[in-house]
Amino acid sequence: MRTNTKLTLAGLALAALGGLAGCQDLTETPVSGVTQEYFETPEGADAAITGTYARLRDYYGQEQEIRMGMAGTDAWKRGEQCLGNGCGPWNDYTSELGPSLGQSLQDMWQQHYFAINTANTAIKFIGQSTVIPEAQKNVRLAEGRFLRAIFYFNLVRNYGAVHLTLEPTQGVVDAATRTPVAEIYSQAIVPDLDFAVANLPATQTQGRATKGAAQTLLAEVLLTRGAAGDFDRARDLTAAVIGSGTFSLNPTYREVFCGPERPLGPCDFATSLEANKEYVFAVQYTGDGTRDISGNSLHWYWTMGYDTQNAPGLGRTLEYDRPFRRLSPTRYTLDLWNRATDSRYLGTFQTLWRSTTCSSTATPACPASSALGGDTALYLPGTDTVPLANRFFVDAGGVVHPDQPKRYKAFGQNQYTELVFPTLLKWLDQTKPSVAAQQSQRDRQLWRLADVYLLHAEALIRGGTPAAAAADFNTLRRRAAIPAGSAANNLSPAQLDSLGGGGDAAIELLLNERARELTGEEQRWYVLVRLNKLLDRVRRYNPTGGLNIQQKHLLRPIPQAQIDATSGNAASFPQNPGY
Amino acid sequence: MTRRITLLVLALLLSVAGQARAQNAGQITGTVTSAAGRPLPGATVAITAPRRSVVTDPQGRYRLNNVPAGTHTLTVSLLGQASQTRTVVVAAGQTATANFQLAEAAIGLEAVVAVGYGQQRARDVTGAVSSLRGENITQIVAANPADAIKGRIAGVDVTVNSPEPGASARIRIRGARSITATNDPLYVVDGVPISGDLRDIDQNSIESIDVLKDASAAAVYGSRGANGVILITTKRGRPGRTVFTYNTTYGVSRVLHPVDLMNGEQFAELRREAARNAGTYNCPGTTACAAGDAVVLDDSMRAALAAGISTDWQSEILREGILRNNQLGISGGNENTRFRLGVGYLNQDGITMGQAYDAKQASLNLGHDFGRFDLQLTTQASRTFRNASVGARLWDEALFNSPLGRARADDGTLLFKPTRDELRVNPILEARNNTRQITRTNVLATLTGTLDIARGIQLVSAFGPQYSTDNDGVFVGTFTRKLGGTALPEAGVDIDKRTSYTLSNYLQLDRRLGTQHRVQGTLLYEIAQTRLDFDSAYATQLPYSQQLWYNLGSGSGTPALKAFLGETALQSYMGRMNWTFRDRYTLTLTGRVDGSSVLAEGHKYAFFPAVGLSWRLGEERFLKDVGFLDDLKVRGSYGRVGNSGISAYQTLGQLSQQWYTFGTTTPNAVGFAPGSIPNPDLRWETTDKYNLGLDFAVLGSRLSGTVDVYRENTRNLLLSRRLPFTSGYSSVLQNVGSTTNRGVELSLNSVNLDGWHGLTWESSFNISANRNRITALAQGAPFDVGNLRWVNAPVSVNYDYRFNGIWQTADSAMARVMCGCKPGQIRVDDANGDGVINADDRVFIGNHYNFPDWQGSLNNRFTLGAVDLSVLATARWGYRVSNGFIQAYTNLDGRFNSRNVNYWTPDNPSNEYPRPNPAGKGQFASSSYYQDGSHVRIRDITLGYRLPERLVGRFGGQATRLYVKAQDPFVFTRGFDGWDPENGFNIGDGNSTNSQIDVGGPSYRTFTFGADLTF
Repeated sequence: MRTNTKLTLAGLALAALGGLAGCQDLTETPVSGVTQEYFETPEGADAAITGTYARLRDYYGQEQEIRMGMAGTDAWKRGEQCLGNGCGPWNDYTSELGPSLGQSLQDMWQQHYFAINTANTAIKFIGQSTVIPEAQKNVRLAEGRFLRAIFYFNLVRNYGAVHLTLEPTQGVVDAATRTPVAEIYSQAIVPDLDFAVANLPATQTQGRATKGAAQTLLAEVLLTRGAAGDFDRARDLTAAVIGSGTFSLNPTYREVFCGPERPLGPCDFATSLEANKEYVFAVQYTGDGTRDISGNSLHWYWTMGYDTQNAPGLGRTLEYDRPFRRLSPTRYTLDLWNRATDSRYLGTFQTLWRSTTCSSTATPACPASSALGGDTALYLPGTDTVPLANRFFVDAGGVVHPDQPKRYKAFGQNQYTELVFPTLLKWLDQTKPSVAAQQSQRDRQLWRLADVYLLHAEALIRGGTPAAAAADFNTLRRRAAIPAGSAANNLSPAQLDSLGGGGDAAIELLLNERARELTGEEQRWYVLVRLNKLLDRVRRYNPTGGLNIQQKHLLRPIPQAQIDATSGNAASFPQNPGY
Repeated sequence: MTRRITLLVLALLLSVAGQARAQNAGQITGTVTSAAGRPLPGATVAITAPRRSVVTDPQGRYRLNNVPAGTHTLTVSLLGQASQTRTVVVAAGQTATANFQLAEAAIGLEAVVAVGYGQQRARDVTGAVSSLRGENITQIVAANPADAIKGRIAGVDVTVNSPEPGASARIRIRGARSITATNDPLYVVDGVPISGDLRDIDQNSIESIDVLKDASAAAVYGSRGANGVILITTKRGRPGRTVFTYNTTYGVSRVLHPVDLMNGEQFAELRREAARNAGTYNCPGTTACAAGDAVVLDDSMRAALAAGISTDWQSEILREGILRNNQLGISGGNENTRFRLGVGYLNQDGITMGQAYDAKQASLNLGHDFGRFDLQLTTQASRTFRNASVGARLWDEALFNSPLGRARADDGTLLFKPTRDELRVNPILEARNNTRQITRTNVLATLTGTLDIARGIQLVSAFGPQYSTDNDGVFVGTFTRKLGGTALPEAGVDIDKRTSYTLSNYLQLDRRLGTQHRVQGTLLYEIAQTRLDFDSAYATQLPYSQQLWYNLGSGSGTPALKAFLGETALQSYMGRMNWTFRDRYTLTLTGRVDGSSVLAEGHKYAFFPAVGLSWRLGEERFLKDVGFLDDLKVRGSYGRVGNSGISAYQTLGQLSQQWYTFGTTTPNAVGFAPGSIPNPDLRWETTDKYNLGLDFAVLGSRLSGTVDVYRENTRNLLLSRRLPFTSGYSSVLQNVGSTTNRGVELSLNSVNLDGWHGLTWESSFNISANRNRITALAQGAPFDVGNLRWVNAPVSVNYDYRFNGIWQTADSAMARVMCGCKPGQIRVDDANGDGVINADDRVFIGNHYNFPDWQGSLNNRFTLGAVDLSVLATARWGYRVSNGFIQAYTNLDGRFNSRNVNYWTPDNPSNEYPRPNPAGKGQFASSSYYQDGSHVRIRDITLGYRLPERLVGRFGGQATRLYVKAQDPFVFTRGFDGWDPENGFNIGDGNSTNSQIDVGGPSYRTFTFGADLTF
């Protein structure tokens, strides 16, 4: 009996051990996330296009755009805070601007290829879908290809020959090669944009690509490539955009960026400005720090150090923004406009700061009433020197004496420094949550109609018919003229004709006009490279960059991390010459 | 399934009923004495069938009641004494007597050690197992028990992640082997694996910690054994009168190495020199001025300089830290039921303003025997509360702020921005207005039921559920650096809920076959599941601040919400056989099959076998007569263990989500982009471990010790491999490459003086060295520069330019040619001698932080009458660290304050630090931060006094000891310049290529007074 009980117990125990086996399911089913199969659904394919749009925000409206597109040009020189790897070497072309510069070099490369892989994924899965209606399918496909063209165009212009792939990455790929630039244009950028022009509608929901956007980008691409027939095609494409009736110039220049005019002062932004018919394509920003993490951050990179000038009652405020002072205008830029007849100087720069912190105990004391409205604290009248009578008295040791009978602090152009200069107002946004906040909700427009006019003019000038470009220049000049609509600044076709098409003088004229109209918006570095004027103009106008710039700087260094991770390293993915 | 459980319950009931029927019982009594005839209290006297035990009383007496008539094997064991076994015949209704006289045993060799799923006599163990007793653990008073075992066990490297109170520690057993998967050991509490770490365990409730280092030992945990296993056995109650223990300590902490910063005058000169370097030390425009100071220093700085202001920001946020610890233990029981209850309260205020830690812990151990069934319950409950304020970033405000700024206005109010520099805020306000509270609640239980099925056969069922929540709340007030004094407050909370359980069922066999053989066997089936449920919310623009994160809905900004659910499961079968022949030869065979959900389909299961052999050489006839030799044992083992320490869903290609906007001004479109590459090939990372060990005791056991040598080959390394960005991904997790670890470990215990003029001096010493290298990389590549990996180099290396001083004026032409450098900039070696400095000149610089040459510790303990003194020193030697502290706080850019160093100027050709430059430290800056981290640290000096028993007895007590101690009073380094050569704040999981240390805050020394009372 006892033995039997023992055996029974042992048997039961073993049964219990074995019986539990097989209960455990080791299959993984994620609940909180989605996997690649999601792209095969109609919503998934559409979400991949949205995901590609979102990648525009990695570059446009970020500091990357400043250092790669604006710093180290004729238009902009370093500001006092153009320090460290994110700015200094990009403006000064020092030896640090090399393959190992780090994040400030790597980010754009990495994010553009992430974007291209996303676009490739979207294009593949939308193409495969049997559920999406054919009409909608082609529009989405065209959007994907338009976006992919933007990313490849940026890569080619910065790095020359780069890796080309039009298929989503499957599995682990560690091979990469440098495809010649001409092939990237002929196999990817141009066919993508041809498809986009053919399939995008004239208008779409704000933020989506349109036919006009694709035509404009294609024109810029063709002007950059400059192969046979490209200038003529660029001319026709831009003419089509101008003549489409979809876009129109804003009545005044300043109101493209700012609300009802506040003479000399900062910019009043309102979201209504973004429904502007002048915008051809804009990267959308919302200022929602949660879902749009960095927002548009262009607003503060060109702001001067107004708050440390001991100007009476002038402290840091939201409408004058945080003074990041990365870039300041070169003397070339300041001298571009005939300020008496061209509203674009004051439409571009803020030159007056009013008291913000006035109280009976303010230090320095608040200003007495002045000619400029009574509460002026700091003024940049734009003359080379400022009569002492208009300024506070500052003694030899730099100490301010507010008790002396002077009214406000002023600086002449000769006294501008890397800290003191007119502030670019085109991106200022007083609707940010706080002065310290980075997120601006301003959209970053990549082209507006004025740019299309200038691309049209460029196509004419470089295509050998410069006289016809006068009409484009004059359309923009008349809008900006003082008084409005005046023909005082007009160019005559004969004047242009005398410069000859594509000649140096004509290109100089074109570059000057682009800067007058688009400074702080256009990515000047690309324009200078396109017109083969980078070395010449940087040497002429950029005081620190001009000392160091060399031929090799026409291309950026390939990030070392790319070469290191590629199988075969430099043998299969060589560095650009000179780096 | 349900039916089977019913049957099992039925079976249990049957066995209880069977016990109740036993009528023909007698009893056994006796006394246990030492060789000298002294009564031995606390010795365990046990019979095996039914499994019963009692403990001797203070007079050494014991009594076993209700023993079934028949022949019984009686075993007596007591730590430090050789066990004895004797057969006793009990007649029904009679009392049998069995007295024992025990002989002293060699220290450490006779003890029983936990080996996973049971215990073994240390003499039979074939694997490398190291043990640490509870009293050694409580020697160090620390918020984290891991801190207390630092340096105490050969081959176990404990480093703290930050000197902040309550910060986590990093434990590496025999080095790191995995590059991407975890290198953390497995923690097992009373037989059940837990998630989390030692902070969850009430330090005072720990009876012993056993570390399984080699495969023979660790293979019972199969897939989770690769990084070694730490077994924690908690204290249990003993039959007899109820004993109360109370331990209390109170300590104060002070900073070990304050930072030597520039004062106001030195800072002004730094700014001038930086401006001179940039060519801007002159007057702007046409404004007349006497000196460049007008540009370099604003009016407030000039005024402060003239007034002689020099604020010491560091001392504004440093304070005297306080460490309080109170522990109460109650234990007791009777023959059938034993209990121990422990409660503890530890409270530490860090030396940095705003940092505090507070731990309330309770543990309960219950054991109950009823006949053949023995039930053991262990519970640990803890609630810890850590206030981290703004964390280490506070030190930025304290060390970067200009000494020319002031903390307070004339009326005493705190100034938010002490200077015009908008980036710097007052560290006092920064500490006050940032709140971060991490509250962890952890409850774990182990319920173990043991059923004696037959003589020497047991069925054990262990169920270990665990529930923990981490509530991490952050509040950022308006007057903080982040919000700049204008924006409305922000707050958020992350809630991490982890539920897990392990259910193990195993059959255990322990039989003597004849007189020569002893066989122990284990057969196991086990399942484990973990569920991680994560929620996070963050809100901005909160209307009022006292809410902290308890009314997030009131914020007017868009809240950020996140949630995640992760589930993992493990299923295992294990068998182990231990065969001892003639008490001299032992063979252990282990095999475990593990299946894990986190691995790819088709690669989920793997088999982990191990074999171990030991030979008690000292028992052989030819050594038996060697007079000085008391014991000698050699061990050898081989086995395979695994590691799947990756998180859930990594084999599936996951998408990353982003928002975009079409048409309106709010983000309204959800986009997805490829996030990670699907990876259907992920499998187990396996480690083959070889171990050879020697245990010995000589000179009347005055000297005993252990030597181990080992080699571990890890294959199929789970590796996060960097991909070219052109693929659209930056990295992928793959099974590529392999590594080895080789090492040697030595521990010695000695009694140097044994009652010499009443003085006893005992020492314990351990030293270990580990060498790690990569033996293969992906696709047989010899190196992978992108990931800083080379075959034949360790998995973490310092790879950089070699610092070679500062470019001097005389070499300016060479400087320009070699690197476009200027005098006053950092000079590095042209390692390949090609006349140009470029990426090819990077070299290996010393051992990485993760792989020191060797480490060890020495503990000396002196006893003279009622006075005892112990001194514990630890060392970690032979590694270089990239000193993050120097990097962060020697910026020399003239904007922020800096450490007071000898920098280069045209008139001061220093070779140590470059010329101040507003553009930063320039090229090759990182080369100048490498420093020797070798150090010897005095961990603890304790002086104790035991009150006379007569005095204590008068108050009803049994024993009282008072002590004073100094913890971490000294660190000796070889010119290390920083807070601490050991505190790795940024080191990561042993995988990081980043060898930076030391930006977590200063280390401190603590002076403590304490009392241990027993009554």
